[in-house]
Amino acid sequence: MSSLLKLEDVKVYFEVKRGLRRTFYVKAVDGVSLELRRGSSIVLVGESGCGKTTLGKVAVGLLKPTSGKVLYKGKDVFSLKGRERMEFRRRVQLVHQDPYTCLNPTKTVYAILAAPLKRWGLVKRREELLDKVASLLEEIGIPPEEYLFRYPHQLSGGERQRISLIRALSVDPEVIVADEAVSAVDASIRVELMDLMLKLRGKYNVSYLFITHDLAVARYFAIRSRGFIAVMYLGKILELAPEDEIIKRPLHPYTKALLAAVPVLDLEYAKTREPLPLKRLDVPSPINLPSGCRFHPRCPYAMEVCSREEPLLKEYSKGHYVACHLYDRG
Amino acid sequence: MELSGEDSILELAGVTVTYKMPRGIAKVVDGVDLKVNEGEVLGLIGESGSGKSMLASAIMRVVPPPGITTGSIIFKSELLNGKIDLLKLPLTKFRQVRWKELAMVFQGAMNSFNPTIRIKEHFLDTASAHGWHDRGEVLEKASKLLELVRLEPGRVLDSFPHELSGGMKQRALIALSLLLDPRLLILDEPTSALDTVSQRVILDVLKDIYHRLKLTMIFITHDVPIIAGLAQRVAIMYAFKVVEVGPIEEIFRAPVHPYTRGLLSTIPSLTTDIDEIKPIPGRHPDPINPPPGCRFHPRCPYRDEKCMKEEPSFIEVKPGHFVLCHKALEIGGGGAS
Repeated sequence: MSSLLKLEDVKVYFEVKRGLRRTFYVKAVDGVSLELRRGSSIVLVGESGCGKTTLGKVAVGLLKPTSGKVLYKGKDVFSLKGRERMEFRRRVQLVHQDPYTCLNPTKTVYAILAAPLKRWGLVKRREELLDKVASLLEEIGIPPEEYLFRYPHQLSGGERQRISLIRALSVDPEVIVADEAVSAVDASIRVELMDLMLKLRGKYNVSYLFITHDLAVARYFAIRSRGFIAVMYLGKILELAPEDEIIKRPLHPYTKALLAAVPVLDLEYAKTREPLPLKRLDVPSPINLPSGCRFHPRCPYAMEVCSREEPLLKEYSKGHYVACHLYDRG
Repeated sequence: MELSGEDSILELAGVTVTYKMPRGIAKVVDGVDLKVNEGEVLGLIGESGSGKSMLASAIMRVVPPPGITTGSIIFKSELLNGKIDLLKLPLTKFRQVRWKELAMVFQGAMNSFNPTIRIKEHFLDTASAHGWHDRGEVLEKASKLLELVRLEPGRVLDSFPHELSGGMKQRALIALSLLLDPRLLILDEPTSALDTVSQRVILDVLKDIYHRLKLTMIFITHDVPIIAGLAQRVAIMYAFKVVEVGPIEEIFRAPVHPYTRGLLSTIPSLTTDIDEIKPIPGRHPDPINPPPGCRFHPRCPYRDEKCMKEEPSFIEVKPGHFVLCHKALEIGGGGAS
């Protein structure tokens, strides 16, 4: 499997000015390395504010990291020029979080889907454009006759999300960064949307960087796409493992807390649930990150070393990486 | 279905919300019958667009115009001594009952506060609208309620809404809804748009409130697993109607309505076998010209001739478990897995 997109020690710091003199840095992403290989997928899980959306923006080249590199097929994305840069732009696409704001409300479905095709010259003649857009709609199970000339406000959330997915796929990308692509729709159609993404994955030969806050969604997507789940917290990856390994055998105390918070259908289990294994409920501010391990103020197992030294992401068992002092050996 | 009883606090009969639109008449809530018992938590489940929030708006009489609410909503009021039809009550009278006896936490807490005034002003405003003008007393009560929802009153009362996180705003809103000691609290999607951890905190808070204050709750959500461990009974809405009502154990373990069965097996979870998770084929119908007969028939694997023509009526499959389906006994009797 060849490497498509590689993040190397990416850091994104935002400057915040308070008053006249004081300047702070919000460490949105603080040293993340990830590699997306062709045919695989990465599911990035974390609470809001953990930096997952920022990381997605860096991956598609919308945001230049403060330090670190983004490599597309081995080349640094931010030093690409001319034709190569255009190629990267087309091959790495983003599906946004909110289907209600990512489609232009004044344009019809036809205009929305035709624009990228025209932009990239993927359709030779004007007459072909209509057929091409209609065939795209058919692929996502939306009848073109009824929908071609509808406006976004006449679509349901699920329909909008499918349109923004096919819009990204229509330019023949290799990587899709899907930022909370299924979170804004009903629980009952999340699986349908993910199945569609997986079906189109084979057809278009794309790999996904799938961002979500929902572990149940992450599990489904990771198993079905034979990908990895990476757990992110305050700008850092704390645990990474293939498929549902993280859910079956969570190592990091933060992953365990996240798992404990997921609602379950099982009534007996729901009644006897233990309280959240967290010392504090609220996430600390990303401006004043805790020293050492950034999870230590909330961690029920925190040791003396945790407030002093930052743990590194190390392989604990085959393919299962964790950044936690509890698993330091020797 | 039996709709009234000694133990009920709210009885809905034939509640319908109608909008006349250029395209036709839309019934966005269509003949809902439902009983809510005093002291219980009822989970009201449905997809977006199924009419669940509109039903809550009908109870609170805040249906956006030009919607018209018909039917009857009988509420057991202590203030007005006895059972009254909320829809027939003059608005001035209804205003006394609203928030004092029935309160609601609206969807999207982020937008429910006035961004230009501090949190404490919201508490003071609400109190003075109901003739309670003692600022000290109101703030003392507010502090107690904020503690109940696990917030620091000292910090939160003086904050502006934008200074609080989403989860904190949602909890502050729950505290505000409890200010006048309502007997019935309607929560419309109080946990959607929140993180898993904040969600869990809200649910713990609600459990706490329920056990301490002994009030009745209607919990509206599209995310079924959320109400496990909180609700005792569940009502499921599909296409603007309630299609199944029953004890939560029954409905989770042995759902009968084909829609409920589909809904429960389409929800991603951490434990179920991934191959058992399947979406329901087809689309939720439009309120204008819904399918004839049973509204679920175009998507239903069990349908036959009768389902396409005749509207089903409720069948009691087990005591207290009602299903709006022609084939309820067949499906329910066959030992739903």
